[in-house]
Amino acid sequence: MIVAYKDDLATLDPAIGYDWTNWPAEKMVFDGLLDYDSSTTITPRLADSLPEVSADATVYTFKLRKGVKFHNGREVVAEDAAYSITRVLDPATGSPGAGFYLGILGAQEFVDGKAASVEGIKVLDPYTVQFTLSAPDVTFLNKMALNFAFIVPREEVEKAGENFGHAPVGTGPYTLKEWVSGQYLVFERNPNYFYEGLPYLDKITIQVGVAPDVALLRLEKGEIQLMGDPPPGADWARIVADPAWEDRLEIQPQVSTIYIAINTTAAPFDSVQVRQALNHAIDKQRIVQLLNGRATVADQILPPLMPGYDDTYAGYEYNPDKATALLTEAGYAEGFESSIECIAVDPQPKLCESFQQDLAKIGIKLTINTLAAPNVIEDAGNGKNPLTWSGGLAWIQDYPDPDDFYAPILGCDSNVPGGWNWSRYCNEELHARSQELLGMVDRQLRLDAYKPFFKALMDDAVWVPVINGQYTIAHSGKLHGQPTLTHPEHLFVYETMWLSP
Amino acid sequence: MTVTQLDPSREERSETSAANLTAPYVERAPVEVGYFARVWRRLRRDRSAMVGGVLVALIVAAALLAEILAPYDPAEQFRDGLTPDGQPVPSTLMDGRARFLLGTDANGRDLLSRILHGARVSLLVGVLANALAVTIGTLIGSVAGYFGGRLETLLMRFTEIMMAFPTLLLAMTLVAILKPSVWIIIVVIGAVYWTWIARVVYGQVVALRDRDFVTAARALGAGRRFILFRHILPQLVPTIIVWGTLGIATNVMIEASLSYLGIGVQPPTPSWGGMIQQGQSFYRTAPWLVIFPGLSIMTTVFAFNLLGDGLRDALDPVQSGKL
Repeated sequence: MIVAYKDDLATLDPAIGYDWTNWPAEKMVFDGLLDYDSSTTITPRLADSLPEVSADATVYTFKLRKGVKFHNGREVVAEDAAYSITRVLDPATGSPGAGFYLGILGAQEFVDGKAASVEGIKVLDPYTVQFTLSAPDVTFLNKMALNFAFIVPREEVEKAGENFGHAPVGTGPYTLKEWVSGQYLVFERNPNYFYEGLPYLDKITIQVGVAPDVALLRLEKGEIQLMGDPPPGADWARIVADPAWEDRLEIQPQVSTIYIAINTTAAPFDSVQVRQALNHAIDKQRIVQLLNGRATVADQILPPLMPGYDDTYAGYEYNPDKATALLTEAGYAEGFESSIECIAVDPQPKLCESFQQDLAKIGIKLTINTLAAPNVIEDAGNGKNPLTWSGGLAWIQDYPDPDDFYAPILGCDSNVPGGWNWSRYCNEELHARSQELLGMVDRQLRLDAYKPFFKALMDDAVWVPVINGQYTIAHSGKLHGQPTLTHPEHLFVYETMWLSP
Repeated sequence: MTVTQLDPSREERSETSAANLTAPYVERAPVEVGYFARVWRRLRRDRSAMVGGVLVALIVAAALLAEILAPYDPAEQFRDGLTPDGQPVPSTLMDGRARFLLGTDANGRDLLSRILHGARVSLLVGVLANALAVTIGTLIGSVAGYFGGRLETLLMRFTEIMMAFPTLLLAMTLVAILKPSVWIIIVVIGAVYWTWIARVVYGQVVALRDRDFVTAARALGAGRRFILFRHILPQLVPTIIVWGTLGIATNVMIEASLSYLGIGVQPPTPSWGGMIQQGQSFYRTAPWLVIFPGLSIMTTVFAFNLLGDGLRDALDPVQSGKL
C-alpha cells in the first residue's frame, strides 16, 4: 500500500515526534504499555492488563506481557519501560513531551540534574514496573498511552544515537526497512508481532514530497491508496459532490481547537480589552466557509468533543462594533499596527488574509508573515510574535482530558522559551487551581469544575478560539480497515488496514 | 517593417523614399524634420509597435484609474463571493449579472478589482525598478566607458560578477534578508537588473569616446564631465529609451515571480504573481483564478516588448538593419 504526504516525516523517535503526521507512523514501529480502543477507552498493549492503582491515585503498578520481542530479537522487560520514560525526561533527549511526566516523584530533581535517576520509577521484577507520583493525577494513564511513553530498547538507542529517529527499533507491527529522506519510507510487516494475525498488509510505503493536489490525482488514477494530507480545498467541493467518492472519503471530527494565540506580554495585547476586541472582530463563520465547511465555529478553548466542554457558554460573538468600542476603551480608537505569523501551507495563508481583513475593519493593520512550520513554532515559542495562527500546528488533543488544553499550552510550566504557551500566559491562581483539579478523583465533579476554570481563561481572552477542526481522509475504494472514529491521536491505524483486489 | 532594403549610409534619402513607398498619396513631409518627429513617423508605420503602444496606454490607464474603474475594494471579502461550500464564484456574466465580472478568488474577493489594482503594483514596480536600474546602469557604464583605466576594470569586473549571479536567486536572497514590501522589491529588482544596461551603455560609450566630435570638444577645452554629460550621454538617449521600455517587461516578470514565490508584494496588496500563487491549487476547479492574472502578466510583458522593439527600430534604423 502506498500513502502520500506533502512533507517528509520529521522523525520516528517517539520521544521527539509530536504531530499528527509522525504519530501514526511511529505507531507502526513501536508500542506502549497502554493504548486506546477505537473510542477513548484505555486498553493494555505491552502491559498484560491495566495497572494496579493505589487508593490515592499516586502509585501505578504495571505487569508486562511476557515474550514480546523487539525487532532485534530481545525480549521486552520492565527495565525497558523504566528506561523509556526516564529517557523522555532526560534533558539531553530534548523531548517535547517531558512535561507530561514531571508529576512522577523525583522527576523534577532528575531534570534539574540533582538526581541520577527518577525516584518514582521502580523496576520490581523483570516484568513489573511501578510509577509513583508526587501528587495524584487522574490523567496519568492517558499520559502513559501517549507516543512519548512508547517503549524503546536502550541498546539500540545508544547504538544509533542522534540517528535513532531515522533508524527506529521497537516492538511494533512493522519494521522500518528504508528511509530515503525527502522521497519515501518503506515499512515491512513484522512476522513475529505479538498480536496474533496482525498486521494485515505486508508492506506500506509512505511517499513524501507529493503535493495534495497531485496526491489526489494519483489517488484517482489508482497509483496510491491513501492521502496522508487532507484533500485540497480547491477540489473538495468537486469530490464531495461526486457519488463515486462516497465510500472513499472519511470525515471525522478532530478533537481540536485552532486559535489565534495572543501574546499577552506584547503591547498592546497586554490589555485585556484589546484581546477581547480581537475576539469580537474575527468572523469565524467566514473561516469555516473558506475551509469548505470542513470545520465548525469554536466558541471556547475546549473543543465540543472534549469532556468538560461547557455547552452553556456561548463565547464572544462576531461584532465589529463591540470590538471597536473595546479598542476605544483601551485607548486605541485610532487602531494600531501589528503582525501575525502563519504557516505557508494552503489554506492557512488564505485564512490569515481573512483575519487581516477582519482586523482592518476595526483599525488594526496587520502584516502577515508566512513561514515554514518549524519557524513559526520557534518564533511563537520564543514569544517573538504578537499574534500566531495555530492553523496546521495546534492544538489537537493528546488525551481526552481538559487538562491537555491547559497545562501544555496555557499553563505556567509551559510558559518557557521554546514551549507551546504561545500566549506567554501564566496565571498563578489558575495554575494552583489546575494542580488541585488534577487530584480530583470524582470525574463528574472534576469536569464540572473545569467549566469556570476555562471560562476564566476566556474572560482573560488569551486566545481567539476560531474553529474546531475535522479530519478529512481520502483513500482508495480498495482500502479498508481504517476505523471510522479512531482515537484521534492516531489518525491512521495501519495495522488493521487491508486491501481488496 | 517591410521597407525595401536601401543603402544605409544614405539615411535621409532612404527615409523619404520609404515614406513614398508606403504612402505615395500622403502629402509629403517636410524634408527638414526633427529627430523625434522622424522617430515618431517610423514608429507609426510599425504596426506591432503601435499595438504594443496602445496596449501599454491601456494598462497604464487601468493602473492610474484603478480606483475609479475597479467595481469594489480589492481587499473586500464578499459574503456572496464564495459558494456555500467555499468555492470561488465564476464570472456572474454567465447568468447575466454584473456582480463579479471575472468571478471571485479563493477568499471571495472580486477578481476584476484585484487585477486592476494589481496593474498598479506591477507597473509601479516595473517602471520605478527599471528607472533605478537604468540610472545605475547608465552611470556605471558611462563612467567606466569614458574614463577607462583602472576605474573601467574595477566597475566592469564588478558588473560581470553581478551578472554571474542568477537574477531571481539574487533577488530572492536580498528580499529574504530585507523584509518584503513594494519599495524593497523595487530597490532589489533595480539592484539586480542594472548590469545589462551598464554593459550596453559601456559598449556605446567606448565606441563614442574616440569619435571626432568628442575629440573636437576636448580640443575646445571642454572638461571631462562636460563632455560626458553634454556630448556623450545625449547620444545614449535612444538606448536608454529602448532599455527603459524593454526592461519594464522583464521587471514585471521578476516582480510576478517574486510574488509568486510569496516573497514579493505582501497581502492585502494585490499583485498578479501573488494572485497566481494563491489560485494555483484551483487550476482544475476554478481556472479563472490563474488565467486572468496570467493573461494580465502576459499582455503587459508582450505590450512592453512590442513597444520596446518598435522603439529600437525607430530610434536606430541603421543598427537594426531595417533600412
